[in-house]
Amino acid sequence: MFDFIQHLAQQVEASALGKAIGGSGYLFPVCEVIHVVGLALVIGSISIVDLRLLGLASLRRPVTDLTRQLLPVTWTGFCIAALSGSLMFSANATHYVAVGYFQLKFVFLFLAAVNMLIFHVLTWKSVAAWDRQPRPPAMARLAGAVSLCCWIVVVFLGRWVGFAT
Amino acid sequence: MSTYDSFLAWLDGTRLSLLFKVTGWLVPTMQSIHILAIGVVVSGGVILLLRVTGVNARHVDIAQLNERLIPPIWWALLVLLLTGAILIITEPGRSMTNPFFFAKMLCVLVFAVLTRWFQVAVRRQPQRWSEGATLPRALRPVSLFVLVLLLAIVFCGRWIAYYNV
Repeated sequence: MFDFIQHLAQQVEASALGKAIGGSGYLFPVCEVIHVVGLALVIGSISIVDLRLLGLASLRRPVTDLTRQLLPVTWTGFCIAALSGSLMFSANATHYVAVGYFQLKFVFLFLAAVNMLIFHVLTWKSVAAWDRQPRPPAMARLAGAVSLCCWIVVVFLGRWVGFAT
Repeated sequence: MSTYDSFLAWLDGTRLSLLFKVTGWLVPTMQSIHILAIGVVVSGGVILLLRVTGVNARHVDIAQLNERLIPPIWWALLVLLLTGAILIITEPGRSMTNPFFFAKMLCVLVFAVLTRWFQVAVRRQPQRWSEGATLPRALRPVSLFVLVLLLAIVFCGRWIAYYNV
């Protein structure tokens, strides 16, 4: 499995895009700046939703109203971060796939995705019943807590990737 | 050596700075917390900008949004100040002789003044900012300017690492 990933990483790194970003002095830092803007939008907006699900903030706002306002911001940020992240990855793909922090970051991104999926498929069905409740049901609070923890860990691991040699 | 340079050299040699330097996990941890706080500032700012320019959430009361988003921005700025100070003490020369650092501080200052001005203006006359009210026309260019400021802060912050004296 890892050989296969390593092989793919080699191809990504050898691509015109990977070479262009890896060989340029300023393209990589530009991607980093865009990545920070994207992840800042994700963590800031998702944490407001998570705190609402936890029953800790924005208690007077219906949950559906809050998500309608904020999730477009979250997804825009996510797309910006994913795109800029992919570009950064392409510059040093073989290095990144071997870095533990990088691998772990994707484990937590996966956990965040699974958490979101479970939340949408199961918990969200009954949202009409608890939309205005200051303290949503346990499943919703759990989803908020898992999401918040995952994204904070993702930010930490992401920064740590930059220090890995 | 100028007084400023000798101050930096002194700071660089203090026991606190030496302690920070040998504590390997400190810099990445402070940077991670710094980024999380940037998330609060950037997202809070962008969500407010989107609302006051009427791009989204037109039904949401600006006075309420003001009370919800701006206080966390001040707390986040305090966290940014503290984590930033620790990073400076660890390696004074990295930022304190760096034009991008000073450009960033200038942008932060202007951002803080504009944020405070907005916060006070909304608090003084909340009815002027309520749902359906006609908002001052100058708000759009000012919002765009604040957005550029936020991007400039992130850009300069990341560029500190790449500027070699």
